[in-house]
Amino acid sequence: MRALVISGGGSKGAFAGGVAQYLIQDLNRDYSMFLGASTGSLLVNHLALGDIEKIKNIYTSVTNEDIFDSCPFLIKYKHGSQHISINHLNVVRNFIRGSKTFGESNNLRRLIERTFTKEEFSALRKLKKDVVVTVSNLSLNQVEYKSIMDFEYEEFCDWIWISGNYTPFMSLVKVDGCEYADGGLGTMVPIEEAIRRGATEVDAVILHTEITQFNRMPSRNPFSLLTTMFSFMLDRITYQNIRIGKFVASHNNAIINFYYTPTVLTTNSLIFDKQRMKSWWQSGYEFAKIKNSNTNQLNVDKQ
Amino acid sequence: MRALVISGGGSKGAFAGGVAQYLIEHEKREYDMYLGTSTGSLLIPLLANNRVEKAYEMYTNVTQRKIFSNNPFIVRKKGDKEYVAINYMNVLWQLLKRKRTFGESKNLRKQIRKHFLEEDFDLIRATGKEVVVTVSNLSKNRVEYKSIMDFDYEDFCDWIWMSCNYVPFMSLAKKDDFEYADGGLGCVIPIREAIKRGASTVDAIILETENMEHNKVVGKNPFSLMVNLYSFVLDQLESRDVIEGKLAAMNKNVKLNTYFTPTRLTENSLYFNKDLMRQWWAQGKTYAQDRVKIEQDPKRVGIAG
Repeated sequence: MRALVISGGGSKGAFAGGVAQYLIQDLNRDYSMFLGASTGSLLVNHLALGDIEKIKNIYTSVTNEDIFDSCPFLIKYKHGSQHISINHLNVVRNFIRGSKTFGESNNLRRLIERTFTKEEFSALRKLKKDVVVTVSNLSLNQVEYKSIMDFEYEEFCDWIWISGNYTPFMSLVKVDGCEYADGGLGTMVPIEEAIRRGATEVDAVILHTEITQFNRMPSRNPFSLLTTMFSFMLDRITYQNIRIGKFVASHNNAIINFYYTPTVLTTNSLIFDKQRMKSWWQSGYEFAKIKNSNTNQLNVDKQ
Repeated sequence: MRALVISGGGSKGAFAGGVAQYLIEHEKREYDMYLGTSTGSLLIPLLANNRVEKAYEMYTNVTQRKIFSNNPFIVRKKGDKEYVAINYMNVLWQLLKRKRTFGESKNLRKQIRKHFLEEDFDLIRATGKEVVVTVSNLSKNRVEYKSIMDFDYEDFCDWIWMSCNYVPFMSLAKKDDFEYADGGLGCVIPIREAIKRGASTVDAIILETENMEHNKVVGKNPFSLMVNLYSFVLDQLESRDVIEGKLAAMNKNVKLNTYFTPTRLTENSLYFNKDLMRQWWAQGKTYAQDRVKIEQDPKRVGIAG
């Protein structure tokens, strides 16, 4: 059984889309399982349907307004690069409204419903492909995996949305009395789960470079310190997932093909910039092509 | 080579102290390597010198004052139950001072110097025991392991201090132009590092219950939500660190003995209560006794396995 696993990584998801496009369209890989965390959850549904053009259009035309209804950031252009700073007004407004988070992402929920229609949902269920998204249950202190087979359309849209909700910058959602947040907080790369569900060959797209290649600038205020620390911990989670995934794979005789990003795409994956996301998609496609032309010869030798 | 690994866990460190005391004093276990994160880093230099009573004294006489120079927490009483809340005044004061953290822990640095003297430091180096503390390098985005062999006294005290600094509630320290924080952010329990350094038997004290699923009340305001998210991610990291350690041990044929806490000791491990900590220390001792019995009884291991 083949599985496609896509890690979390905000706007960098465009790169994963490019890689997946090559694997599905050009190599005709037939996956029976699709697993995603965060941005990966948003991608996997259309990939499973084979409707790559559609998801490409979404990923290359999305803006911050499509995602946030109350955006906690301000984007400034300084010395030719984008800098992020906190939008104090919006944050204060959110606090007064009694919200627990810095921003709200109800627009993303609408975007999901608009782009992943009920017809597509039923078509996907008929395909008998397992689509699994990762969410973090904060109340029960555990990571949960939600399969499309177990839910109705509305519920599953909710799970996709929750999986993409990078709290505390996006909404915190309550379902059945439990509070849920971004799957990436618990598991960034659900390789282990893919193997547990019976995958024997896993293609894992990891929206991260294989080795850390940058120095972080010292943070300037408590807010940016918190984001720094968060991203530090999330990077650790990514690496843990990969290492454990490798152990589990060798134990179960499964094969994992890793697709790391070759360069650092962005240091802030919460900025959604059409132009850059378009170029990331393209570079993901090219990267998968190069990677597979390098490894194909080895396969021939083995056979 | 035998290694003792102690995880992070704030005040729960007292439990680890009790376990370690039993292993060292009753079981006469001699370790060549001591690894610790956060509260573990505070314990291991004292344990390496067999100064258990000193560690006991330090852990059972601790107060908030001895750790925080600016305490972001306040203890409130509801009925006869004490709980910890955020001291908004202090936090605001920190922000007004343009500090990036909610509290400061400069007093802890002084405590370390007071309990871990330069002669203790020289003694460890003379005996050739390796004491390793874990720190997180935020600037370089990596976890670093600092061995006592590579630093002088002052530097090593700094590393111990940084390993304990639970940012954002304690100080964020800068050393060699890099910003460092609590080792627990990166690696809560460095079992894998111990194995990498050549340990063949590892005793790991993990200050969490073995099954980490428990109900949590998610906070009502953004501040406590942050704290919740934070502890969620840390719990995830910790459970994964343990799994990784176990897998690495299996792979390298290393004998790994784990000592989890039998019950959930506390909700807030940054609240230091002398009486509770004394209790935990005693609890750790009796728990270690039971565990060692199980380990040594081959029949019972067979059933458990």
